[in-house]
Amino acid sequence: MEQNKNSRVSLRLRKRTTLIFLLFSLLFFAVFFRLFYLQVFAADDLAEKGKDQQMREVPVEAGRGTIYDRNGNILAVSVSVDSIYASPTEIDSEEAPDIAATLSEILGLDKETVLGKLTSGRAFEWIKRKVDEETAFQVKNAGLTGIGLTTETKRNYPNDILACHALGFVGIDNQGLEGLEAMEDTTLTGEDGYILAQYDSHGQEIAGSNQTYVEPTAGSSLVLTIDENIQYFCERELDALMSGSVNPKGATAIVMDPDTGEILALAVRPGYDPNHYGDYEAALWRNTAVSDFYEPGSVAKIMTISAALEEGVVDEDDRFYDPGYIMVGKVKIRCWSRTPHGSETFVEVAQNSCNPAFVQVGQRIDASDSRTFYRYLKSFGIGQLTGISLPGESAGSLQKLDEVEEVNAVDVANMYIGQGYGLTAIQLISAVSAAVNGGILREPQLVKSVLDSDGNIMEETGSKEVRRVISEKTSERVCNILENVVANGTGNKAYIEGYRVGGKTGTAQKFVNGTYSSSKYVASFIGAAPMDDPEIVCLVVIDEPGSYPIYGGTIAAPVCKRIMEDTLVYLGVEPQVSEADEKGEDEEKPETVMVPSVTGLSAEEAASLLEEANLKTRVTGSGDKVVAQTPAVLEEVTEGSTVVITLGSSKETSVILPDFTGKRLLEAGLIADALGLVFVYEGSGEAVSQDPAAGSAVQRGDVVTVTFKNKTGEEVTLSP
Amino acid sequence: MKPVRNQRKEPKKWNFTPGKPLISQEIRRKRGIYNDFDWGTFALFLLLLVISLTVMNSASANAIEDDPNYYFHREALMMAIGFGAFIFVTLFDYRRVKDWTRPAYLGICVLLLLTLIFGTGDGSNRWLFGIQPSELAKVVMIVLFAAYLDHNRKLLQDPRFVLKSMLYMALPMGLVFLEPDLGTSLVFLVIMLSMLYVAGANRKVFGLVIGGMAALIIVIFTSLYFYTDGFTVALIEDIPLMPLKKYQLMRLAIFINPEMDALSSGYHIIQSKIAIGSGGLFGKGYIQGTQVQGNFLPEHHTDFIFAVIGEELGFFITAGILILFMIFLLRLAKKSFSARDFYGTLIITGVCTMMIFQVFVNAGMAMGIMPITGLPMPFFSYGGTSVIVNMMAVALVFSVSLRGKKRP
Repeated sequence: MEQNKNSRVSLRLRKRTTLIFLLFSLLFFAVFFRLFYLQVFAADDLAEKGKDQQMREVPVEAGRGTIYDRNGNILAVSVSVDSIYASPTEIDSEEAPDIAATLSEILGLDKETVLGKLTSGRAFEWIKRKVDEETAFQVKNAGLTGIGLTTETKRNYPNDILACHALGFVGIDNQGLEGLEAMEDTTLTGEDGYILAQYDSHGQEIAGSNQTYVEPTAGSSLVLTIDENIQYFCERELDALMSGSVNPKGATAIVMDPDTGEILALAVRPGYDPNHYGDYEAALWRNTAVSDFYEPGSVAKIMTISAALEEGVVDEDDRFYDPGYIMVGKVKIRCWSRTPHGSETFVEVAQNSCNPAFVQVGQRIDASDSRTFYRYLKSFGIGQLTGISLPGESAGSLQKLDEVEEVNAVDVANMYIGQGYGLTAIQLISAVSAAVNGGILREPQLVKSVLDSDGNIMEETGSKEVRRVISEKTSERVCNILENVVANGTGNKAYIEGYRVGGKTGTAQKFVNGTYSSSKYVASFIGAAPMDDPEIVCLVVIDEPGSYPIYGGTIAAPVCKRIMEDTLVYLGVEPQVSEADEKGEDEEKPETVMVPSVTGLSAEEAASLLEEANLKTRVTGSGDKVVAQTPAVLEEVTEGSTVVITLGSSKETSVILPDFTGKRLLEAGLIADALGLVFVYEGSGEAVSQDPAAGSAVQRGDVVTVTFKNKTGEEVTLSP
Repeated sequence: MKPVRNQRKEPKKWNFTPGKPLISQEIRRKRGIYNDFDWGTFALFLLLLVISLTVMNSASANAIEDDPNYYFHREALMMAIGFGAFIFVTLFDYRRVKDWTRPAYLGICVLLLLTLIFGTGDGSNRWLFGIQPSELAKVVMIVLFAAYLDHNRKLLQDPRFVLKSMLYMALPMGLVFLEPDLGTSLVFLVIMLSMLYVAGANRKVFGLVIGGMAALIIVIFTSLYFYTDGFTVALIEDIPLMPLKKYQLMRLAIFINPEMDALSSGYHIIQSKIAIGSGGLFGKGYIQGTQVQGNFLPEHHTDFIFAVIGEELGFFITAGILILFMIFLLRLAKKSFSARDFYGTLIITGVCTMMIFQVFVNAGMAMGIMPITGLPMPFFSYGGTSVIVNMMAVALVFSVSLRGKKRP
């Protein structure tokens, strides 16, 4: 019985013991499964987390591709420089202030900022990036704990400002920000490498731990279509223009090979130095040649000529009559010239850039279908992106006539003479290239080929044909007419001796705030040479010339001429005798020059200036300054003509101001110039007021401000 | 019941022949030993100790900068001392403690009181003259509580007695709690409850106490929920009326969401999980654990030793060690069946529940499934007192077993 009781008790005891240990075994299973979960399922995630805190990646930047011009000259290259970084986890908080003091002294940084970085508790902080060699050496020698140097690359543009708008620039992390650097960023950027090393919680590198070095892959290099020399010609001329008397707000020059669409030079002013892009206003980074559109004015008449010849609605010998204006509906479109051109052939119409006649030509094109000319514009690429490899390209603004029910006659009449729509300089030079290259519109090319890091050609861009716009025959005829414009017409200032140059001038009022500005113009000239088979097309656009004169033929054509002349010689294009010369002496036209303004100058200065213009000087009167000249300023005279200058003493330099009222801009300008006054104009149209008033006595060299106003209902179009 | 008879016939001479008992007849008689020494379990024990020293060698490698072997050497020394204690306790007849319960109880309480007053430690008073009295108290109290329950076995169904017995444990436990040492006082609680359960104490009182504790846990976590904005923001100050301090509460809170205080209270658990998880199936290699050797996980030689195992040795070996531990502890636990008396059964219950609890709560804590309570892992975590006392605790089981009935 006792035994029984005992065994029952012991049985219960055993049951409870078993139970309690079973219960505790649950702990084992919980732990076991947790271990399984962590080390099997969550292992990868947790290992990753561990690596994040143990591995420190010190970046090794990949070399960015070099940018070459078409002849292999370096335009942009990456060079190695040192950058200084800190590993704050390695720095004692007690030492930090001393280190910060030393660093801020060497690097010229704010001590508090540096201290903040040193005590950030992060694994890696840049202190200063891309420092010069000497600074890096000083930091290295200071032997500061937790401060390291690493090699980074810095973009260098050896030619400074040259081709800045085509090249663009890169940011501190070598990311392309503007221009080709931005557009071709993925091509130029290589793949960064890094050194991966393990560190313990105190930031000490774990000795013998796996160190991985992942080698960077260098980026590809670009060979541009740009020719450094031609680019230089353009920039030299634009610089002279910008700092000269024209004093425009901006200017653009583009040289293109019309047969391939390759851009040989693309210059925009004002420019900036991409090595120090941060020192310039962001507005200057903008490549206005592709991102801004403007109303082209008469230069765009090349497209009217092309369309008219292609449509067969005119012949070179067809006669037009210009009464000085043309009525389109109720709107009177005036010619730029005060004197009507009267009866003229189509070639003369082009030479004179005669607006009323061009409207008549346009009306012939659109006789059967009022959208024909519009379609030609589109065909020339107006209103569409050219696809050039530059960021921020604008498509321009061209009213979509095929979407309107009825075409407004005034709208299209404006288009015939290059107003009422906007295009970019790159669109215009592409379109004109198409007109003279045999009729094929090509995509403007900036990148000629892509090289791998060893310099082997990976990819050749090649010429890209967009479409045929006009026939080869028409293109030839357009060339002839353009040659005539330079030889005998408004484009005569672009004439280069020995070469057959063609071209077209343009002066357009800017469309500002919904109306045509009365004081802001765009003067341009587009030239091509040699005209039997054009090898270059050169566009010069001058934005808002700051002083009179403002005409494309006067200020843009000479710039274009100088660029083309140097380029033709540089390219080794053989000089030819012009067609006109070949025809014989009877048709020989003496060279004409425009008389420069010499009033206000000393006799010697005046003589040398006139000599430069191939004019002879005859001096009358006595005194220290030129007070009058005959012929007057800007008058065209045959080369070698004599200009009579009248000297007078400084005391005699006062003149009585004439009344400008009712006079038009050109006339008023001529008068003021003749009197040796500085002519400042406001508005356009007819002069309505002046300051000082008429009849007042002023000194030569004083400023006279004349205000012009449009008559109501009148479209004012300036143009040669 | 007096242990005098020796039922077994043994050779008179003591020798080293394999298969022959190691302990001489004379000693057996003198020490009241009737049973064979369990060499199998002992071998497991040795294996565990060897593994633990191996792990300590790695944990020690980068713990102190100038002395990579400091903890390893200390631990080895402690184990050597522990072996002396082991042999002593094994040969010591556990039943003789019964004569010393009162002075022993008084002694341990005074020791804990002195520790509370004069003790040293990092933010707590845990050490007195280089030893950790709370560790010693755990094992001593197992024996004393077993003797107490055995002595009052007939009163176990009396609720008043059960409450009184709880108070008996509560005094040293409270002193430990005040050091403060939340983890060890929890171990006291676990020992007390499991021993009371196995002893067959009144179920109602038992249930009441368990219920009360569950309620306390709920209250603590509920108030934490509100004070930490749903376990997203670390506590800024103590919670009023709460017996736990801010840092203790935070340890509980980060059990729910370690990220709420990732750089402070939650740091250990996050780093430990990373260490163990990143070990994967095969581990990073001995002394190759980037987390522990890089000291991303501080205290990896003590409370977080399990992370060293997990990270460097990987899932297979770590699981193997856990299984080994479990087999060892269950073999110890099984000896309670063959204990000669109720007293012995209770001692084994107390020792084994304590060990299982500490091993798996420690491992669970390192893996984020148990709150961080600062419990060392027996034999593996560095700590002189802990190692010696735990070896003594195992020796207690052997002591009971040697004097028990013939093993079933």
